[in-house]
Amino acid sequence: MLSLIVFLPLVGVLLCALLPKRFELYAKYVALTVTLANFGLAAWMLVVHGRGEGILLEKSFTWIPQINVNYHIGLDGLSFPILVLSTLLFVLAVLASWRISEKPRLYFSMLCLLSLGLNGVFAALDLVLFYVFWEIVLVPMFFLISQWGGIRRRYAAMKFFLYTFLGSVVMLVGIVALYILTGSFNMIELQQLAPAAFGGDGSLWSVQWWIFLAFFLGIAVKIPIFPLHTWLPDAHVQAPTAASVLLAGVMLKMGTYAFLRVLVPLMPDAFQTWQLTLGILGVVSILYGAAVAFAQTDIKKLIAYSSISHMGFAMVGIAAGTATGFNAAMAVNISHGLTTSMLFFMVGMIYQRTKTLKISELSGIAAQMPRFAGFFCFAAFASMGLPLLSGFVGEFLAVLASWESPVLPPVITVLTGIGILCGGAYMLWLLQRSIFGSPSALVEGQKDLTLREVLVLAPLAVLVVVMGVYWYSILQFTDPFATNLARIFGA
Amino acid sequence: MFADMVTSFGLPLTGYAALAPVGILLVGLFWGLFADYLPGRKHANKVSAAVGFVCATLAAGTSSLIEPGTQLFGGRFWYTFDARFAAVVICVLVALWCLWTLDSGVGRTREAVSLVMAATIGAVLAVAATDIIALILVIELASMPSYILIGYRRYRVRGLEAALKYFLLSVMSTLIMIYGFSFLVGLSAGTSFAAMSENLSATDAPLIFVAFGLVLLGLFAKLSVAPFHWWAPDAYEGSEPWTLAFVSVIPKVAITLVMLRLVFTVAESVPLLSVLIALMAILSLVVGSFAALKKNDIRRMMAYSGIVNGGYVLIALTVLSSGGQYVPDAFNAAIFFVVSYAIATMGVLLITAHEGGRVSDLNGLSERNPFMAWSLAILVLSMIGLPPFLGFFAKLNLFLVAIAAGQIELVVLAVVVAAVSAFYYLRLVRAAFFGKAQKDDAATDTEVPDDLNSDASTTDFSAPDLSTGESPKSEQDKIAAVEPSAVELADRTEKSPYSLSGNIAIALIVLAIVVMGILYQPTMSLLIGG
Repeated sequence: MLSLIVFLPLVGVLLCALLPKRFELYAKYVALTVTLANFGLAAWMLVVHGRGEGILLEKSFTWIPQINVNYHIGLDGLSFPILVLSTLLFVLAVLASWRISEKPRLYFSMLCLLSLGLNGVFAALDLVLFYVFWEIVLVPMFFLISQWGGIRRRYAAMKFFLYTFLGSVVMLVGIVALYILTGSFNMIELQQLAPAAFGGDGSLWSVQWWIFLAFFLGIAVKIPIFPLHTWLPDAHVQAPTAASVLLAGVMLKMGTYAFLRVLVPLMPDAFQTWQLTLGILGVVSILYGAAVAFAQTDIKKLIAYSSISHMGFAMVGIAAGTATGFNAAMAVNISHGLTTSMLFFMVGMIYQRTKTLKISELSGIAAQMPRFAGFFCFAAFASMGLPLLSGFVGEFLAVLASWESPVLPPVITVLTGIGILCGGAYMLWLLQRSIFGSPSALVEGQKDLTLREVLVLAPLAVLVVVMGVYWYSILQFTDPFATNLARIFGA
Repeated sequence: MFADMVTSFGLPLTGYAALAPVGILLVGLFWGLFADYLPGRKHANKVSAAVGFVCATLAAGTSSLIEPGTQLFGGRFWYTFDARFAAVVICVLVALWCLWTLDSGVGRTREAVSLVMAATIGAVLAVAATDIIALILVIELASMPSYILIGYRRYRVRGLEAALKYFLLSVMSTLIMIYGFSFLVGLSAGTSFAAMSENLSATDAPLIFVAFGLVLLGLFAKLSVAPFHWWAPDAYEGSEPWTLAFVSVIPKVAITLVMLRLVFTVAESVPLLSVLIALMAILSLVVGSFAALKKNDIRRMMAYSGIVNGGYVLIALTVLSSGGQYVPDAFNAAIFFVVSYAIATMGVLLITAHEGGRVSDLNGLSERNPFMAWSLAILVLSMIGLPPFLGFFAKLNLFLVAIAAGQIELVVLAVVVAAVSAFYYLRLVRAAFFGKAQKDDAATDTEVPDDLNSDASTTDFSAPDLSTGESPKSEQDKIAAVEPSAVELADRTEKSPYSLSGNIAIALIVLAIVVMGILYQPTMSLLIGG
């Protein structure tokens, strides 16, 4: 069943790519059907099996016996919600790309391929399989940015590819080193095998420390953590709307996901050595992202930098090393996936109308496009962490975890709190400049959101409220995993 | 798996029957030579390519039936599992090459086919050779036809220059190699590899080191490993892509295997060898990857890519030469790697033969011919080492062996180089999918400001790129760039039209890249014998 979910988008890839040229405008219907079916299946599985114990929907068979590689997939509380979120965002991304008329077949087949890669990353339980999917993701994103992106798209696409590819191959070295020490690529088995093989030595310059570093470099680029974030503003800003949404909404989550799936459980001793550094890097990402976001004159860039800031909260949560912290990271993942996707979708919609992303040229949207303004304010509030909306859950838990944590000093808690404040400040300032005031020349006379656009935004808005009001809706999935993981550290 | 299949047929070829593939290839050779007197003389080019295809396919089939362990001529040839694997791969690639030429309209294919058959005979024997005299003979047989193939269009100045460079280099490297062999023969009192591994003693270590160093130097030069790589970019750039698809691929597979066997034989008696090889590996990886960054000629780029991949093979060779339990794994990793490289390179060069030698020639390929664009993308992604294609598994295998043997530094360098190479490989994909098709050569895609895009410099006559730092030829290029002279015009590569057989050949190559990647296990079984 899970294999079906993972590989269903392949049908979309092939159908879209092989569509005859005169039917090329039907590619979007193919993509919509496939992604909807994929989401439907994933959501159904979540409802039916989501709260089960241990690894759900597990499947394993031998792939390359010579080096003990298996096709091994399964889901748990960590991956299930992200997988469903990912499939949902793909449905919305297809809807948001409805007007793509330049090479639609290539566009939608790449979107489906991206979906395949991401499904695979979240489902894989074998490190080689995981790496295969992890790399597959790069290709469609490279294509999406290079072909349908902004002015500097080629530069951005190349930078994105090279940056993340270098990170990934370094991670591959880590994977191989881990295999040589333990003889296994199985992520579940490795939870026992790997710590045993290291003999509990995770101190500075030890083998475990080095392998941690190799994995960390690959993962930190994806999250991204300061100072490895420089590809992100370029890629996000140059990418077409749907690709920006998927970059921010799902691909950044690959990083935090891999952190919780591989780094923490497989190398707990090295993690403890790294913990403080990770906390500091997290806080720096929060404050740096926020500070740079303040200075932006481009609305898309502002949201891109706010992503760096938000992922910093997830990092602080992980660095805390407690169940609360892991829950915080997963909650930030989901919430950021919802809110930033909304913001990027809306940036795309406003760009489509006004052809500008300059904040100074956008003002008075509220007077001209009330529905848009309403959704935008809502998404901004959710993103800045207003209570009863989804952003608050993760950020509050992250602050709490950093306080609880035996390792992180109180100053980190204080700075994280200030980070929440900064998030509010730049978002409010953005609203003041773009939404309110008297309409600018470019905004004047623009039409409000269409039904299709409301359909893109509404499901996300509903989920934001549900998650914000009823925390348990997300924590019921993540908490068993987080508690289990925290047990390694005796908490 | 495959081995089981073979034995279940009850058909392993033992003894002199193992020479059957050579006999079959000889038929192809002579058919090409005498095509004008044989049936179908009106279409001699097509018929001889077709015969070549059939012969190479049959040779591949019969090679796979050879019983591993078969020895011929008193141990002068020894078909091990890896030799059989390499022979099969070589024959299959040659068959695909013949299939491509069948309908390509490149002209005078019958002679090219007979030359290719001769070189193939040399290659399939070289992978099995375990005697110095036999080895020298078959290596020369494998490389001599290449001199002609490189300069196949004899009226092209560049082609002749390339052929001359390749010829001089090849002869020189052979001489050095033979000189080295003469010492080894003297020291081991015999010409066979077995005698070498028995009789070479550690007491003669310095002399063995020098002698074997000379042998390796010759082999390295043939493999275009830095710092003996200077000939390759010029020779490649001057040649026709479709002949290059053979010349840069088949001899390389054969020579890699020869090198592996030689190093395997003498490694124990030459202590410093692994250090030397590691140094060459580092040099090749760095030189090849960074020099390729700004190349605007695909053949030149592939030459540097060959240097980088030579460096990867040397990583495995470093493990091999330092001995220990990882020797068999290193052996297999190196062969697997060179095979993955060979298949992808042949595919890229055959597409180049259709589209022209410059990177900018690929512009708009996805509009003109989506199938070729996708094929190119898959081949290039495999060369970058992206899963789930063959190139990834080859690299994974290599890293596994190298890390297990403790060559962490080399692996880290290889990883960085992989990312650097991704940049220039991706330029091909970028040109094919996102480059604007040009109406004439003077028009360039300058509409999109692009910091990393150096394609514009190729045809932008007003601004010759000063930073490329190419060989002496860049001077000549700049003069020619002012106004394209007759020589320069004659220098442009012929673009062969797409044909059914060519498409099938390229499709099969792409299929091999995908299927051998995903079905890694059967491929490995064939190599290491179940």
